[in-house]
Amino acid sequence: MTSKIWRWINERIPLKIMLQVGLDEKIPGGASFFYTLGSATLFVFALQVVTGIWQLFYYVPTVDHAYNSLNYLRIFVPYGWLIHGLHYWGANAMVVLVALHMIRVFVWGAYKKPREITWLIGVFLLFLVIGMSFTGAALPWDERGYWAAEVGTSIAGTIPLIGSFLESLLRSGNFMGQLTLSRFFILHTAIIPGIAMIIIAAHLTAFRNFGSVGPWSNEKRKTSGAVLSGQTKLP
Amino acid sequence: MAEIDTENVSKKELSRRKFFILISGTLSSFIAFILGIPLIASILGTVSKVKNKKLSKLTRVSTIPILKPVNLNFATTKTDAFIKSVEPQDAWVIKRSNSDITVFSPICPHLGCRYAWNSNQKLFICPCHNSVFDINGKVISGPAPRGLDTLPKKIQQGELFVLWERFKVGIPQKIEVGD
Ligand code: HEM
Ligand code: FES
Repeated sequence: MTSKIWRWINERIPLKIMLQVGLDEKIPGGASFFYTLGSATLFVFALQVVTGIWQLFYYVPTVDHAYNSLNYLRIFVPYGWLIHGLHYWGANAMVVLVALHMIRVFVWGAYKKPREITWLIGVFLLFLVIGMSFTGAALPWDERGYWAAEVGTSIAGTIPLIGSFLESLLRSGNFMGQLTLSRFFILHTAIIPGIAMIIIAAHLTAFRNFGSVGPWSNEKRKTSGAVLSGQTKLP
Repeated sequence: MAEIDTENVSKKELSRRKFFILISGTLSSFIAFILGIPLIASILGTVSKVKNKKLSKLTRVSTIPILKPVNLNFATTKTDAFIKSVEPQDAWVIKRSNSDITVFSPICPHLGCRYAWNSNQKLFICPCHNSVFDINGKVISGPAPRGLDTLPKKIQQGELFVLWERFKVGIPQKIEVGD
């Protein structure tokens, strides 16, 4: 019965091939758990998207209610503390994982030809992750978030020539206020994540084109096959 | 694109593959299930509300006329989720003496309209379905299933305070409706 339905679906949309393309990944022999750091980052990114959307059921981006609405989420909403906590610690984990992932692809020499663009797209993703941390921290509009945004935008203001313009662009004026929070909110919830999703897709497409760089020892490279097909061991 | 050549892999290799697919599928579903609980509960679960139990100041007792119902306005503080706001309300106040005061909710216990005091007939009359009540709130005629609802009140240093409450309409019992 299930195989019948499966066949019926696949005659109309090539789900089986889509799954194969998505999941079956050929990697050189000697794979290690270090290869999972990119996927771990991707998983936490997905978790941030879900918990972020969920917080929007309660959070409001106004200077007089932002803090109260988050307190309400944490104290009165069932499991609100957990949803908020997952997003908060997920943000921290994201930065750590991206750094580890970057170190691993650097050590393995994955930035070299023909993977330069994968690396460059990665650098762009690093900036986006930093941008998410910066804009997200301001959203509770508490002492920590407010002053982090004040200091951060002031730093932008010290850039020669374009500094003042950049600062007032981020703040929507010379001083911090409601429109600053609105800007940070829309950057954090729509613009940066939207760009990130497209860029991640490009990152993965570029990565898949050549596959994983694999170990540097030629001995280990000889065996190859599907993921989890017998060569996965600790480093 | 890296194609997996399943033709040339041994039987042992294939069953190992199936096993890993099953394990990762099961683990992923398990994670999704555990994560799903707080997400669904936060939407479906009843949110614990902050009950508003604050008295509102009406007026000085000495300014209320004797045995002549007056409609007085007052401000209530309302908490809607995380937003506190002030809402205007009103009530009918009847003073018999400085210590004997009744405060009626302005909402008709029939189906929720606003009734008013008719000073010619000396009766409370509801314009919606003609429920008529006497000065003590007792039903004289009309479809109202119970008398007018009194609101809790308190006299403090010559000032009259009232607690704003809502009651279920259309039934003989006076049952408070929480927010
Ligand atoms: C949002 C952040 C990021 C996500 C979600 C992400 C995701 C991934 C994934 C899933 C892979 C394939 C598996 C792997 O080899 O780990 C990968 C590969 C790669 N990533 Fe990232 N990445 C991110 C940031 C970065 C950064 C900051 C860099 C470096 C500047 C980078 C450089 C690379 C390179 C060079 C590869 C190819 C590795 C190889 O060929 O073996 N990525 N990324
Ligand atoms: S609502 Fe007052 S009589 Fe029906």
